[in-house]
Amino acid sequence: MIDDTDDMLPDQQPLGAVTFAENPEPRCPCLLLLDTSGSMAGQPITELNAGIREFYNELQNDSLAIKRVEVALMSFGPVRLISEFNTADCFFDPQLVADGDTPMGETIRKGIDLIKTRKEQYRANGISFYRPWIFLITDGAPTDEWQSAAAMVREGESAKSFAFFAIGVHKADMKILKQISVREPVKLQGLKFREFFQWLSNSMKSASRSNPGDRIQLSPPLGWSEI
Amino acid sequence: MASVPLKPFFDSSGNRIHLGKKIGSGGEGDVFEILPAHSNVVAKIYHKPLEESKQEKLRLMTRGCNEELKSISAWPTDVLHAREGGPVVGFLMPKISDYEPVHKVYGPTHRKEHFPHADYRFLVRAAKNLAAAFFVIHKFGYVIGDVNEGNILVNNEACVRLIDCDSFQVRAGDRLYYCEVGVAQFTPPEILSTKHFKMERTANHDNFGLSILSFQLLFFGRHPYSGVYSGTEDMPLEKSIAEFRFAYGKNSARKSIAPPPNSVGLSVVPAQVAGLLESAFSEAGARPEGRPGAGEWWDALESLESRMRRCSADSVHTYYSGLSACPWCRLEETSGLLLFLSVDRITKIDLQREWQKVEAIARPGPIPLVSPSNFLHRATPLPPGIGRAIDMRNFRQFMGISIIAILAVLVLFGAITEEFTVPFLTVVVIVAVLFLYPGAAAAEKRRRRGNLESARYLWDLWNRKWIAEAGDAAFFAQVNQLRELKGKYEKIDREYRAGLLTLERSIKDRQQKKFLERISIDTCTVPRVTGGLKSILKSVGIATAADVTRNRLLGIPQLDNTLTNELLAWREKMERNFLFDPTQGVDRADVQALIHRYQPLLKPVERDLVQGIQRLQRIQGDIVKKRTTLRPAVEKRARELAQAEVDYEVFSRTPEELIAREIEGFIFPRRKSR
Repeated sequence: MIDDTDDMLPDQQPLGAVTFAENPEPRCPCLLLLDTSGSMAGQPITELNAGIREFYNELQNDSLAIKRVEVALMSFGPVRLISEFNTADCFFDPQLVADGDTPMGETIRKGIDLIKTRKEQYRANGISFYRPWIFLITDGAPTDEWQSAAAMVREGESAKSFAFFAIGVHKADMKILKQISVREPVKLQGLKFREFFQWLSNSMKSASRSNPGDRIQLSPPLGWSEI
Repeated sequence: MASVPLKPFFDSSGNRIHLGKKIGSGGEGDVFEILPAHSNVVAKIYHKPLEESKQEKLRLMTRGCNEELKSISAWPTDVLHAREGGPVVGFLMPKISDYEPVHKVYGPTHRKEHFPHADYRFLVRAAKNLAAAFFVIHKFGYVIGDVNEGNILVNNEACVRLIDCDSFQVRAGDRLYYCEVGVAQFTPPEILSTKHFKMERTANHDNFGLSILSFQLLFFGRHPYSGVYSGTEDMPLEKSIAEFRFAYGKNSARKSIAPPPNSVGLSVVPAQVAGLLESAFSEAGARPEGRPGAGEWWDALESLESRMRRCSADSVHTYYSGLSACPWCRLEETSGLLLFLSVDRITKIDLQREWQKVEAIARPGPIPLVSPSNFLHRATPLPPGIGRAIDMRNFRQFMGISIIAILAVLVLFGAITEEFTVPFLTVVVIVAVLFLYPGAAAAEKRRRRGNLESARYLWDLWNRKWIAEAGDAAFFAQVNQLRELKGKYEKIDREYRAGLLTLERSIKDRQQKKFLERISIDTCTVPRVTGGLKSILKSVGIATAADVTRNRLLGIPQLDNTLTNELLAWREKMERNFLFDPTQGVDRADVQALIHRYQPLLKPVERDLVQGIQRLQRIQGDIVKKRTTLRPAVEKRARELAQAEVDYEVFSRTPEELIAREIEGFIFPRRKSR
């Protein structure tokens, strides 16, 4: 056990601060919680991966969004942090593989923690930020305890700490999603992940041009949802 | 490529205007080239029919157009109609090419990418030109209204152009045509709470945006109201602006806000500029005409420009001469940031010398051995009586085990039958008593075992600490990390040098290419290459002899085989005129492009190396220090454990071991054992 944590911290910290000094634009954080349980295997996971790649592509081609939008990826089944909050120039192709169960509760709790940590970093570095967005994408029902996660979502929404959106795919349990998300969950039409991510990148691009504050301006979920 | 509207449009005098390809698209309309191509005018066509007031506003703007406005903005020069006498559906404006949005200038990352040559003078000049542009707009009574990071453009000579002029506020007599849009980051506090912008905007509002952008240009993209807020709640930028929380101002502490880490304060600019910023961002600025105007900004920046000094350590650093030392050197050193790309070298360190520093740091050497076995101790004498009690206990236990053994033998041979049950049980009870009776020694044994356990625990703790802090593992881990960094550094440096070498090898090719690039296609005297053909060639980008290659000529329908060959022959003739000048060497601009490519790659490695070497020095110092300061404490624990072990030894043996030990004592002379 090498106990040099005291020494490690100050050496590690300035790197983040350098990034913020190189690019002090206000940040628009977006966290994607992606279901990679066994039932997503095959076509769904392929489409999801392709959708994410396009999402990053879209963001990279926008000179303001590339500096402002920060995306973090977390997959669940099992819960893995695939990519920390980063601007789209540090894109990391996730190549998600579907296996395992659906620990939705755990991923939401960890996701909210991740947002909290990132916000603290913004604050410490004097970086303004927009209200973070969390998107939960699932095709099933939680296989773990999710009530505490739902409580955290409610609390975060009412404190305006983040905006939480749930997207149900295929046989997702929309009833439970309704209990987790304060906002009405949306059902994905078929496997229109690409359309969804296209819509999301457009929303992020316009959000990153609006004002860092608490207003949320989303265009209606057209072209990919079952509304 | 966008579809080209076939129908011509009409300008205000009824002239037909043919649109070319679409070159831009926005929420309100699209922007098209005008045919014939390469004219300096473009057209914006709206998606939707315009309200009458908006049409009138555009007519007023085109009537107000003049050379001054055209020189600093994409001012509407004429309106466009879909049919003669019909409603206004668009307008003509000057074409602005090779400009980038201002956020790519003030943000260090994008600046280094898109404006690699820009130094601080460039940033000051851009801010000054911005003020000049605002000055012109205000001089003619217009208000920009929607000042933002996307509709102000800068080129590589720091010239500034304003676009999206059709949203400007226009006054005609007592009629006011509003600017109905705005971006919060550039909207002054006094009108920030309005839900819509159907209201009169003033130059003082614009001057807020001007001051914000000037600040962003002078302070590396930082927003003046974005800082480290000491309150617990979130502080969105909008709220911070509304509450006048200027993070760099003299009142910032009272506003519970401080400049972010790795930023510079107002001291890097002259007091005059700092004064303008203070008044622009404080409550006083919100009063009518309370903020510095474009003219004041121009004057202050002009004066700063004339008082710039070049850093002696890094020629790309230029700074306000009123400072005693270069602020950029200091910021780069403390933060690890690369503020400006150097023009003449890719690195600021000498790897050889840095590595000598690593080698010069004395290796701490193996950790001095501290172990309980280093310490010989004599057991603490037992209190009188206890010794005998131990002997008794040992005897009792010896007897007990013997009886069990005998019984086991008896059971094995079936000697115990029913009539022996009672004596058997009696024997069991005797054995149990022999075993369980605590005897006088038990309390002492417990005490000594307690001592041993805590001594062992403490030793373990301190030993681990000793190994971690006085051992050399951390030192060598750091050395290995540095070695890795050195490898990375050398790899990038190698690539850079290889690039230089390639440049040198291709000097001739490049010189020739530059030579051909100076020969315009217009000078081509081949008879069949007519003026018309020349403009066709130019429209597809073949403008000089350098562009004339077989590949590029292939796809042009107007060229037959002979014409193509004639053009190629013309190029060859021009090539023969080229004289290689070996004294010219490599073009500075080419070397700089190479530097600009590799410097940003090298910088983080360089930073990690320098910081890593300092860290190695610290680690080494710590180890040496810990070896002296920790040693007594660790040794004390080792000694205590050795003592506790000896003390307990007398209790720790089973009777058989004691017997065996006695026998051993006969055979070998008594030795110390743990």
